[in-house]
Amino acid sequence: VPDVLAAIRPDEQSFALLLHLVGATVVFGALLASATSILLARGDTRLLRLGSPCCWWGCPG
Amino acid sequence: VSFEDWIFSLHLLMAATLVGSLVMSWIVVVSLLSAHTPGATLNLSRVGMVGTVTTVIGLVGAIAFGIWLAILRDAFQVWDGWVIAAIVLWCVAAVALWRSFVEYAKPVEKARGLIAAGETSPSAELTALNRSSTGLLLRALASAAIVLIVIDMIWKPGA
Repeated sequence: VPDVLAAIRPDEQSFALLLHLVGATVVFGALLASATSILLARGDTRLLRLGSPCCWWGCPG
Repeated sequence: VSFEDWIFSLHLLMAATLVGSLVMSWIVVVSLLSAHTPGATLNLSRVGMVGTVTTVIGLVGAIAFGIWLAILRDAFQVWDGWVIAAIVLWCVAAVALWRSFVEYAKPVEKARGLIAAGETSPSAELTALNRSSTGLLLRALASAAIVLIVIDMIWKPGA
């Protein structure tokens, strides 16, 4: 099945696929960082802030 | 679903683990820039250690299942140009990541030393180690190599 899918995927979809993969892995990495920070926080404010998604955009750490 | 499909799935899973872990490690590295105390450094290093372990798992798994897939599939071979390019880029990424892990171990050792000596206040030397430009450059080099591998895997130039 993957061979067939790769064979029928037009070249013009490659960039969209790249964006899709980059977006998906960024979300995965961010969730992994968030979950790990919260799980390992042990009350540490810095890690709790790092684990809070709303803080990532303005004040990491 | 064939055995080959399972190997392909595991290859993709390992690749996603690798890139996701790199994103996570970048979040930790950026956070380390504002860590001035031994306690903050050690707390962030605990989170970074999870990223390091998953990065290594993704790095080893992606190349192992990738080569296995290249052997199993008739459509391409291990000695195809785009496969060799990916292997070379993988080697660049692996060496750069290994050296960056060594670089980011230095502030952890320093922080442990400071805590053992009873010093918990901000340290200029520790801040400098946390802001290591060598570590950042190595991490950036590894990330660039891995992005190029993803591009190589999607476009498969010459295939």
